[in-house]
Amino acid sequence: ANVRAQMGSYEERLASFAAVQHPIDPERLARAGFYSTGARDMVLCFRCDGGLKGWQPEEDPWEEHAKHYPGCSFLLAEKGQEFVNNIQLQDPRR
Amino acid sequence: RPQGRTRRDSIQSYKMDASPCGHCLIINNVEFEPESELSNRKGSNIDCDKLESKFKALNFIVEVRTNLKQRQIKHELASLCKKDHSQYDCCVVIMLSHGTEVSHNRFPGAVYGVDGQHVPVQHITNYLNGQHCPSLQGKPKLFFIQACGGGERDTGFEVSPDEVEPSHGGADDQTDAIPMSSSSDSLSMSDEPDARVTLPTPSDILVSYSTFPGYVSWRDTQSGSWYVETLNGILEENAATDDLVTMLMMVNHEVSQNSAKGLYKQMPGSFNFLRKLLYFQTQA
Ligand SMILES: [Zn+2]
Repeated sequence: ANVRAQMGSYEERLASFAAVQHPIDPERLARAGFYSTGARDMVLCFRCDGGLKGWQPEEDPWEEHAKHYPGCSFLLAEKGQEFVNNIQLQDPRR
Repeated sequence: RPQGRTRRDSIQSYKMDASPCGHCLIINNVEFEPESELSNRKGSNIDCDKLESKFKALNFIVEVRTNLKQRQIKHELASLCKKDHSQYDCCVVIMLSHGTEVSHNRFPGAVYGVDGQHVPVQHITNYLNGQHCPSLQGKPKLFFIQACGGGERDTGFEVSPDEVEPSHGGADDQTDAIPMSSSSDSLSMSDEPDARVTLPTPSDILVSYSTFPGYVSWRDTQSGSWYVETLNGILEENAATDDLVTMLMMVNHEVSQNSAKGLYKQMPGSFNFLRKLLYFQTQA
């Protein structure tokens, strides 16, 4: 019914970046659950609805997903608890 | 770092030298009503005693509440939120109960009252956020949750797994039910909004789960839960020298190593929105 429902598929997410100039490789973003909102570099996760913007070229989509939305069930299913813990228990001044 | 040194506020670490340091509320749910269809949590009193003495030793004002219904849990959290924390540096909430899965992108999971009604972890943290509890703004708010799975079967083995039915596919639907508005999330007014994220960012909140919501958490009916035993031991050994996050890494490692030897694995989860290092007060 809504955009988020369609974005469950990797192909749909990747296609959402077709007209967007993004500092991060769209394939990596799409794999990490993100699709483009069309507004600058802002992306949303199809599962947890968590959004991120202001991307730096060196950033890793999975790491940013785990840093800001550690409860996301897609993140946990794809990357596992240990990955999320490691990101969450980095130096808090990171 | 010398033992017992006071911790003044700095860019790097939270001020932690108020005496007492702050309130610590322990909710210990052991005996569940028959209608809840949840079994009694043998061994939980051992966990409760350990943590009560540990947080007293860390200079907290500890209060223990036993066998609370959902409504009473909310009432206790609301009372804690209404207290004046301006003389204190920190606040701790410990929940020992059965738990279940509830989707949330920051703080998933929920904890049961003895009546079988649950309170989402996200709501538990919200009571103490900057909006609802201004005297804790900018101060660390810590939540330790030993939550066994909802469908525990007490089979009388020395160690019984607290299992929960893993959800298959239903998680997607549940996500929509979670309020995403700024008023309901753990927004702390003291902090600048995070320009990176589209949802309000919780700040100065750390939730340590005995296990990721929906996974098995082990409790020994004689010696208490693996998580609390390990947490207590690590605090005992390292609180004088190490910060909380470093200690939680040790806890996670030890619990997962321990459980890897058995049939079931257990990995504690840490959801950390602290902005600085946190060193507890320890006696010199
Ligand atoms: Zn997500």
